[in-house]
Amino acid sequence: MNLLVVLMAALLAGPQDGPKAKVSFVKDVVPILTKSGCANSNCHGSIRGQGGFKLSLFGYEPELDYEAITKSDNGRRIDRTNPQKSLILMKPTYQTQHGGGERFKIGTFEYNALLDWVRSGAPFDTAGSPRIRSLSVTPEQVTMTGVGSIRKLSAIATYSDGSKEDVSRKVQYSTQDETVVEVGPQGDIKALRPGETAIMVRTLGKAVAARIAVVERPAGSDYPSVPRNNYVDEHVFTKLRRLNIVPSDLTSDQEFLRRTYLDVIGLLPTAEESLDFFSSTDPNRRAKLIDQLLERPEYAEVWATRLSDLFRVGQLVSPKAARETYNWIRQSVRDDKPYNRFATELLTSSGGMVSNPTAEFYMITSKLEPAPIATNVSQTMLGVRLECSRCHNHPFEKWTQDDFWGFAAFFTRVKEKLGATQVVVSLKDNVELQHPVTKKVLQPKVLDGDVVTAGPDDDVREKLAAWITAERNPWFARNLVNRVWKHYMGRGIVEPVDDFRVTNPPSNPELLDALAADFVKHNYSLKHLSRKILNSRTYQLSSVPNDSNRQDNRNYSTYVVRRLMAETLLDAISQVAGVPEMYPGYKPGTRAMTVPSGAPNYFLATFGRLPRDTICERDDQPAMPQAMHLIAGETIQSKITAKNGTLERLLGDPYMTDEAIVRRLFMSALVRTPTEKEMALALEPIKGKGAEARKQGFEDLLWTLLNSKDFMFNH
Amino acid sequence: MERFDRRSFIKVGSLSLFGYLSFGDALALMAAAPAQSAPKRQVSVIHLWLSGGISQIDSFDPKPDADVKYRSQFKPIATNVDGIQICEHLPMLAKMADKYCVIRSMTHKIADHAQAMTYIMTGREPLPTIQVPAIASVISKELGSPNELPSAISIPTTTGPWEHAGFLGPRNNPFSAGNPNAEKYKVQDMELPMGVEWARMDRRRSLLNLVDDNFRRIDRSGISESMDAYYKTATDLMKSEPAKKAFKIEEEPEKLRDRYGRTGFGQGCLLARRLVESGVRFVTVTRGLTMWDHHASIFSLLKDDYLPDLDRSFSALLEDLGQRGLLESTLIIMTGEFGRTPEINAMAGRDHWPSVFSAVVAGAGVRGGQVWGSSDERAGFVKDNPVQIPDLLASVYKKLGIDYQKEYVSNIGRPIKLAANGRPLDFLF
Repeated sequence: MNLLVVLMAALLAGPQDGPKAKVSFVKDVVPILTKSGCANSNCHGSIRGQGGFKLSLFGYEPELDYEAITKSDNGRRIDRTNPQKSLILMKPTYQTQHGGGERFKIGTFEYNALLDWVRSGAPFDTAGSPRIRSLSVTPEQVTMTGVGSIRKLSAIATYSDGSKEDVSRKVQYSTQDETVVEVGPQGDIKALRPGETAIMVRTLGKAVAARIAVVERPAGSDYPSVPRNNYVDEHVFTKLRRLNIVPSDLTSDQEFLRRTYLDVIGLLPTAEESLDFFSSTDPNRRAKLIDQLLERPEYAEVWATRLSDLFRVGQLVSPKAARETYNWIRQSVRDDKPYNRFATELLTSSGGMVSNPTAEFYMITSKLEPAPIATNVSQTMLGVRLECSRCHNHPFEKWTQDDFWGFAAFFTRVKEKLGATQVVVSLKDNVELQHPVTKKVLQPKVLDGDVVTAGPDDDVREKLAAWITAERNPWFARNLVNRVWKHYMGRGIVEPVDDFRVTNPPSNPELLDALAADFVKHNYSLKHLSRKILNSRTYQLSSVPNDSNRQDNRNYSTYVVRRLMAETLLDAISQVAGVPEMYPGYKPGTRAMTVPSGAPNYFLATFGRLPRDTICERDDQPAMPQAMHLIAGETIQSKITAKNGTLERLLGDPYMTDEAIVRRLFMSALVRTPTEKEMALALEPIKGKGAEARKQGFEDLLWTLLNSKDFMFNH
Repeated sequence: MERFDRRSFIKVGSLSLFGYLSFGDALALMAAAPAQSAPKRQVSVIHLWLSGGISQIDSFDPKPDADVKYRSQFKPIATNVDGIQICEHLPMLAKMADKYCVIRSMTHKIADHAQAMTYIMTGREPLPTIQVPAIASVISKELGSPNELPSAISIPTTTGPWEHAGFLGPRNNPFSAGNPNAEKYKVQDMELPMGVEWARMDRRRSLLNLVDDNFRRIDRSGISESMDAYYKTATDLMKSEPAKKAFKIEEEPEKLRDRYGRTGFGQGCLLARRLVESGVRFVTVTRGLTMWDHHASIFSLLKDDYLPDLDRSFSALLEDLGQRGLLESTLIIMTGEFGRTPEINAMAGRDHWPSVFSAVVAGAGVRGGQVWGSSDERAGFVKDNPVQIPDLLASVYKKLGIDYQKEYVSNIGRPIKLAANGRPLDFLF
């Protein structure tokens, strides 16, 4: 009886692949489900699916999706006898209860494709059918002129057999900033306001981004000619012109001096240094100052602190070990050690924490395991966040779980043990790492590259280090360059700085590429890179906006105002007040920038010195305890009233008039002169009053200067 | 008899909160009021954070019949609820078992302090890349504060980054209150420095306002306003005598301070009561520097110090809240980050043990007088009804009216559910 039914079905079915075979599960159904939002991470694409129905995230695994749709739950989602009643059609059109609401209407392109597919017997693609190899979008980058203007994006899929298909109707589009550009289901984009954003285009586990800029009018003949000092300016100003944004003016000497001192060496200029600079008539005085500052020991301390933040120095080791690592980093910066060598030394490190400070690189969790090490290495060395792909394929990026575990396999031999006096990082005998799901033994494999072979006694990390620091590695140089750029410029070209991915494009890829290439060409020198950036006009632009750049916070048309780092702030307060801070365990006069760990300090903790327990950037946001500490706390109060502090000295100096003291304090703290109003208000409680009132009046002024935004911020 | 209109009734009610009226007076006034009731108090949480990991078998989950290798040196005693027994060194709590629920089947798999603490506070193991906010910070963000006080406070301080706001930003970090058992206790930076009165501070701030004009020209991100807002919030707190009064533990009667116990934890519980009375939504109390991490000499430490301290403070808190009519609106949760090994080690101590541990929950409508879940014969593994931390977190959020399934976008863009897929526990309320 069954045989008869089968024969009948075969006769009635016509050609082998069904009556309307043109609808492909892989090339049509899966993309349409992604496009309709079904396979998003907050819905059926989530780890547990939704309502008992699980799809692969953004359609990266059509085989799983086919199982889920046609086989699981007794295949109840498909009704071959009555295709229109299939749940896969009823739910998204909201003809029956559906938590996801209506995703498309009956009779639309999406509906018809799914219906045709069910009618054709809901088949899977024949074995050997081509699969997607890559996705591209055109145009990749466009500047739209005029609010309301429209363009059309098109998406092309390239398949494994080399064929190409226009998939514009089938891909999922989403805009990163829906106030700048909106995108329709077919890739039509409309400019809503001047600005920039990216449109993400996704299907079958692939993602690409189109960069869109919107300007009101293109730059005309009235766009000024802006001088360019070096290639940094070339790239920055070219883009600004394209956006019809005029950069701000150049800083005054006063602004330049304060800013550069703070950014390069984390100190304010002394009165003598200021005088030197202002009285110079050398047209190259700025370049010369930059050269001098880069040779100061404090420059190395700033970068030792930044790199200690990056590599989380001090978190899980003794203060002694942390100091050793900090010192090692500082020495490396002083020597301008090539960064590729620096990174290699960290990656291939082992030994006791104190005697081998580079080994601290691995101490990022108390138990060394391949997975957290992999995440750490990827994020710090490459700027790539692999975390999500540890458990499932990455929702935003192309990394798969296999990619993650292949990378983790480089670290299977690394372990920690408790030595007599210190923790020791060592290499144990090789242990196999299994893929957590498939249980297959994993071989170390670089990202976007090949499996690396190594003998059982090899330290395969050496090969990893070679791959990471290779000139053609797309991430290593760009990652470091981007971070250095952020330190000086206030915002990364890729932001957040540790999130390099296709769907988070750099705001100026040509600039990033040029910086990276220059960095590599000059032997990965941090100093050369710093010098280039500091000498650009871009770095030296004023922070005062003009009408055309007021809204621009991405393209460096003005200097990005930022609060001083906690260490710099405390050092500056100590410097201006003439009273050093005391750190337990360190000799008097030590500055915050040289205290790597231990020595808990309320001010530093409150103002955002990193606890370094996770990889994170400093948070400069204001907070209650900061405000309270500034208003009422010991730090400022004790320093402004201290004996032998700056204030006492100035007040006791018979050659200093009150006006001169006011000017001196303004110059010391803010590197500027007081306005008439400021001078008047500062002197008001002092004029004609006694010594006590004078003292209090100047204490109040000093408190004010140290609390002022001009002081706390670099601008 | 005067008619009390609703407004003056509320005024009377709030006066009593700050101690201007004795509780008895307030009761009398409230009794005289018409039948309209005062607006229902919002629920606050007090987390008795026994950091270090309290030993379950030596406290709330005794196993007197276990082999001598495992069992406590202490005997169990009956409580005022039939069938429930707890350690003999918790006699005051034993008389109040009808007020709390003991959960004997808490379980997870993390034996490292920092990682387990993060798990308790967030429902997740720590990740190197995502800073998940702790429950106190979530509550601070979701519920804010009804007055000048911060909405989340830790006593004496937060114990580590696991208690912090992570990607919710430092403004949602719990505020550290300091050690209320200190002589002349005061909160850090809450009073103006010596020699500076408000008139002088106000003058400073007007000079500051002038000097900041220069910066406003270039401030495009609104940071000036943010900072000025914080100065205002800070000065409002510093100028608010009622808000600061919440911290004035010295105004409590000596006898009550004794009843809570003159220890950091004891006075911390008392301060916590004052704070929730004043509208603070989440208060964490710890012993400060000493922890329940008894790898050695566990029995003497517990008997001579830790258990009596806990017994006294926790029972005092329950009594005090009860007497003030605050128990209905205060949820108390007592946990450590794990339990301790059933097998006693060579130093007469016990080591870390996450497979089973105990927690105690009370107040805010929790069904007291019950034990939920059980462990095996040596308090080593769960026998019935395992309880997961995410479910406990979800229960708390639900009680406070927060959507426990809400998702935040983390600092790396990954969505994070508040209670990590936890579901509220039916047996609690």
